[in-house]
Amino acid sequence: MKTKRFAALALALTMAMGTFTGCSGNNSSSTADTGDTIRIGAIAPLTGGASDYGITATNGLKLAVEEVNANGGVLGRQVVVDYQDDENDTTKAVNAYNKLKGDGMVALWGAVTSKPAISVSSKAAKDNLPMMTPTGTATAITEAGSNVFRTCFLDATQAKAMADYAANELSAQKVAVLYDITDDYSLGVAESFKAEAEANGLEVVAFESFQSTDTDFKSQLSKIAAADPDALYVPSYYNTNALIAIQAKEVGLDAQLLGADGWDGVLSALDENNKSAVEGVVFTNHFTATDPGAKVQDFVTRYREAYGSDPSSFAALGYDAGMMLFQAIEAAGTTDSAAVNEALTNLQYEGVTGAIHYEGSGDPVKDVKFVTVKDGAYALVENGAEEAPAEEPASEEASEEAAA
Amino acid sequence: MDFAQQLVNGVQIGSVYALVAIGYTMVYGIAKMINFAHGDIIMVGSYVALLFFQSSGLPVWGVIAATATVSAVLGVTIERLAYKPLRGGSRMSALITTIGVSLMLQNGFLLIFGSSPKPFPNHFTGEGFTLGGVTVSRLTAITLVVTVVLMVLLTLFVNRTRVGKAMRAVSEDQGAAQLMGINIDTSISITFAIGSALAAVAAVLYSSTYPLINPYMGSMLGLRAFIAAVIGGIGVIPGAMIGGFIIGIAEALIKRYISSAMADAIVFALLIIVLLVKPSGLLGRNEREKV
Repeated sequence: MKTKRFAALALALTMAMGTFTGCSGNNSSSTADTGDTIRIGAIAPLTGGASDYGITATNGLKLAVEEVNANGGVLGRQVVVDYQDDENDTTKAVNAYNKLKGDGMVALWGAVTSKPAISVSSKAAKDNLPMMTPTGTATAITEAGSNVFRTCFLDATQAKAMADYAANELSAQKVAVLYDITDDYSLGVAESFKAEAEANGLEVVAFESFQSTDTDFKSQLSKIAAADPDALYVPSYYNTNALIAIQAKEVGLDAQLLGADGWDGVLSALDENNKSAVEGVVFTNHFTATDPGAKVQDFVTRYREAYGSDPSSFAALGYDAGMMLFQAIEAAGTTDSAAVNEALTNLQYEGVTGAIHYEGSGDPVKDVKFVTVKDGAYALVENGAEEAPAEEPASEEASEEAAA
Repeated sequence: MDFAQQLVNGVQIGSVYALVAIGYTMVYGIAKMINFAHGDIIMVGSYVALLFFQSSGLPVWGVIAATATVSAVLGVTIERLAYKPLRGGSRMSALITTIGVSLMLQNGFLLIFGSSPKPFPNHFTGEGFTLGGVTVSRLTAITLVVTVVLMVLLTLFVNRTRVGKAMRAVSEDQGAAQLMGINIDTSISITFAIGSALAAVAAVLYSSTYPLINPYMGSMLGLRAFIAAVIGGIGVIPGAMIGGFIIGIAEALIKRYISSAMADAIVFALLIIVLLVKPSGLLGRNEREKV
């Protein structure tokens, strides 16, 4: 019995070794890359609990691929994307990466969610393969290597933008924060906002928490109302935000509601006669379909034609991530990894989520959009959008000076 | 002022707990079983009310009445199909069956409606009032009034009518009641109908306050109401009412003055303390073990 099992193990090991050697063989052939197509790998959760994100993000990428191929492709070659499902699972993401690498991808689009993106980024860093996560917000992703980039802004960036907005645009003096203590995203944004608000001279009069499973927030909201803040910052997801907005009204809290990108979708969580609860809320976001810019409207029209719904931030970021990879490969003039990474570092890209470039790290320098709810629909806040670019050149100059 | 506001918050959610707790306590008092599917009746009630709101055009009170009727029929059907055949069997099998019914309802609704929460309308809109700096929304006021009216009606029904008397008799001693010519099956069915109808009213009030409904919403709400019933003394109707308000107010005050993360832990600890000090609950009678 024992010997049999040992023999089976040995056999399995030999087979596994065979697969590995097979892989590395493919790898060497892929660096040569002499095909008549450009192979891009895409990793996203296409099934499972996070599939909504994966599907909308890849929908955006598909539009980018269509567009670039219709215009003659990249380097005169058609772009082919191999879509792999990671089911929001780190192991499956790494398996998907190995498969894509074996099949000879020249750049990776993905992963969409943070945890798979982190696990894939360390693999990509070892191979020095250009990697662009459209939506992974964890800081660790781009820390893996200089070949890893992201399209979305970091959570700390949007918290800072909102703190500046509260201080400068709203002229608020007292702010309150209500956040989900059991959620890393909510906690991280809340703490960044608190620090930035205090740096702006605002007084944080309440810093209250709740848990993801809670539905009743009236105790916290009554406490906040008693502190009488000018604005209340709620960085959580839209279902919770909808409940909080309604209950804030019920306990008579009279403060400007502010939020982060988790507010996108809040209108879908509200019945028609409750929509007034979120009227006037201002939240930071990557993208809004009501942005009047021509580029955005063109994208929205094409997205609607293709999928029959408005594009979400995930779709817009997925599109931009794809376009940035294509533009970088075109600029590099080759699919060689090092050259593409170099091209990404120097990229000046104008996309549907705003102008993007990189300064010494894989995290983008880009504008934060301010979105409000007006007459029961999302609308871009104009003064917020105008204010942000006015700040960005200043920081660019500063960093250029530092570089000089 | 802040304290008074927290009391108002606590009373509102406490009203809902009380309405649900009555269902637990009545079924326990009369059928001597704990119906863990009761929380899911609230969930069903919420979805039924949502469908009525979307498609019937009935006014809000009509929707509540219709939902209560559907829930009562559902409660009696479940009792007839799932629990009645086990009557006289071991208590454990009845208890496990209620858990089975609970899972069946949750997963059935998950299949039909999906897992993503559905927005629920609020038809109790309009201005509330402010009393000495305390804001009482219209919804809060209506919740409290409806709960108190239902409790008074229920108390009158149980104490003053023949059916109520029969129910009390069954709860005292099933065997003796049967010998006196009381139809036990009917009494138990009426109990389930009343409990489920109250849960449906609670469902509309609760879902109007927290207007996102999902197939799992009943489990935590049901658990808290069950604790309310046990704290008040399970089997005793006024106990369930008091227990509901105690849990609601305790939650609001703990969240405000201690910690929101600790609220559940402290409420459950409260249950343990009550059970240690007075095992039969606040209003419960001590039953001597018969040898």
